[in-house]
Amino acid sequence: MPITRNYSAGSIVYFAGDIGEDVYVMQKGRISLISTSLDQKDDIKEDVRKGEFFGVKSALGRYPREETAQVLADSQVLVFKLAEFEQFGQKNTRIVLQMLKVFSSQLRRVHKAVREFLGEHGASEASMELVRVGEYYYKAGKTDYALYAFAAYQKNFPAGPLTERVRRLAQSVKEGAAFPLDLPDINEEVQRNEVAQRTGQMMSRAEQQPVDDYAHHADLDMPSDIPPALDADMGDMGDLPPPAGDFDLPMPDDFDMGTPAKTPAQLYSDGLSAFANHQFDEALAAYQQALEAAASDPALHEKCLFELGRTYVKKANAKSAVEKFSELLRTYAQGALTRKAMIQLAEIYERARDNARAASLYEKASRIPPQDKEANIALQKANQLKGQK
Amino acid sequence: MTGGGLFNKFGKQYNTGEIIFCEFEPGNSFYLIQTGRVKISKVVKDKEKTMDILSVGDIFGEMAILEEQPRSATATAIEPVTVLHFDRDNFVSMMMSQPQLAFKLLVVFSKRIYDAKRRLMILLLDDIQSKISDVFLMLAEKEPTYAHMREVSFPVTMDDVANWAGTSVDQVSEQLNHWAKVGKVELYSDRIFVRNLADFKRIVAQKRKTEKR
Repeated sequence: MPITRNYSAGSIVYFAGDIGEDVYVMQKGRISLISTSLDQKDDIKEDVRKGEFFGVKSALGRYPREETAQVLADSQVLVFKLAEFEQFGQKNTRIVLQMLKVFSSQLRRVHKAVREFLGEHGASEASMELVRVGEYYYKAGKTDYALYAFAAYQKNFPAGPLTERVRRLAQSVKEGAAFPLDLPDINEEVQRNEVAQRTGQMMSRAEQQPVDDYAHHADLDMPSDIPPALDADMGDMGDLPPPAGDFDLPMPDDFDMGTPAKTPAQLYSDGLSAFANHQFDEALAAYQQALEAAASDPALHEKCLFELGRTYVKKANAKSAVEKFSELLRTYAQGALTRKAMIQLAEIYERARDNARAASLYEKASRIPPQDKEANIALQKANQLKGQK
Repeated sequence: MTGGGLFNKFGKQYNTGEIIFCEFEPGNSFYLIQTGRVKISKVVKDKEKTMDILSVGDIFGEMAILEEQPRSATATAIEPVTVLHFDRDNFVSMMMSQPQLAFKLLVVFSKRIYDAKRRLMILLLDDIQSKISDVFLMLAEKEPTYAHMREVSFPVTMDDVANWAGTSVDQVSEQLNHWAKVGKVELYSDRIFVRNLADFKRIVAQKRKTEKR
């Protein structure tokens, strides 16, 4: 069983560099995590929020703590031994999945930074490398592998610059021939063919009709349905409902490249000011940036979705507004803005004269606690619309 | 869901020598080994290099659920292999029915995040001396006796070091040969011997300190 442990102000839960296998959950008080930014240039200080896990990655990965956990006010934490945390994880898969989501987004960002640093493969380079690997296998006499690589190229890059080369190589393998020695250098062939293709594409693009822009439609085009029931749509990792209970996510996001980029909160606040000045396009851009940057901060992420929805309403882009509010409802079944998002959606449907759907949403909203004025108004609306049916 | 049901739905079998996926192939599924062993290899400079041999309970190809990046290595069955394979579509339902697997993945990700960050720390150093020093530190840190290490023999080549440091082999070779001359390291075809790891710790610590704002 995890134990409760008390720390007095000024003490340290663990130091950066310590080896430790305990996982902590913040219960009350104030604890700050002090880490060094990834570029080693800055110290980052971040408070742990109530219900938040900390010390998870280093405990699980069995590497030294990356941050110092400093107690700023008398605090109480829940301490799991690694084995206890594992048991807890087996019973609370949803929390594990939430953590996976956060971890995978961190991992993706670090990998991206590494790739950018190394200037590694774009898609076209990767496809070229795939052919190179196939050619290596061919020369090494591993013809099965060579054929596999060539087939993978043909499947994934059917119109790639090396299509003809790969077709010829595959045929040559099948005929049992030796590796053809008269092939041009692979880089040159790619370059030559890409130029040829680009020229071809420019020609064909000029002939295309302009794309229909949704924003110009006066009528509301609703998606076929309200977001699916929360448990029905589990296909995508991005659509997970929040964890049960009051466990929050492991959030200390210690990844910082030292760029003077705005924080998600600043971007969000930029969005609010732009919105207040009726600069809706600027607001959308700011919220969108904030949204993308707030992947590890559910509260802010939820706010961004909500404000994006509201801004689209202002821009009379009902379709996008519905998408944003729906995404919010799918992602945050019990979020701070769940009820408000439902009401916004109901209003959109009401304006589109889809009274049945609007009524059902108002009714749902009215059942979300607390039973306050907003809930009562929603209930009145629901009854009123039902009467009109 | 029982193991049998799971296997019917998500299982795949490979014969000895069969390729599971190929380096640089786009991919969107990852695998859990049920039986048999899998070789993970890469083609480096016209040579196939074995990176790892995995067996029952191991996960591979897991980066694919994050993003559709090309595979970073080739996976082949070196004996008859059965695997469960997952993609974004069946991922959550699989994890919900296999809590121990979700947890295992969490552990794998924790390690990967650390490794990737550690790698980036090396890349961000801006001189070749500290980069190479930090590569050796990174390799040594994995040992439980790291704090007390002095003389260490690393089973790596100059190519490996250059790869981790994100620099050319020429640069690495020049620096290492210089260190070999002054007796800091000894160079062998299949390993590099470091005489005093503390030297490298000092170089890197000094560098990081001066870079700190």
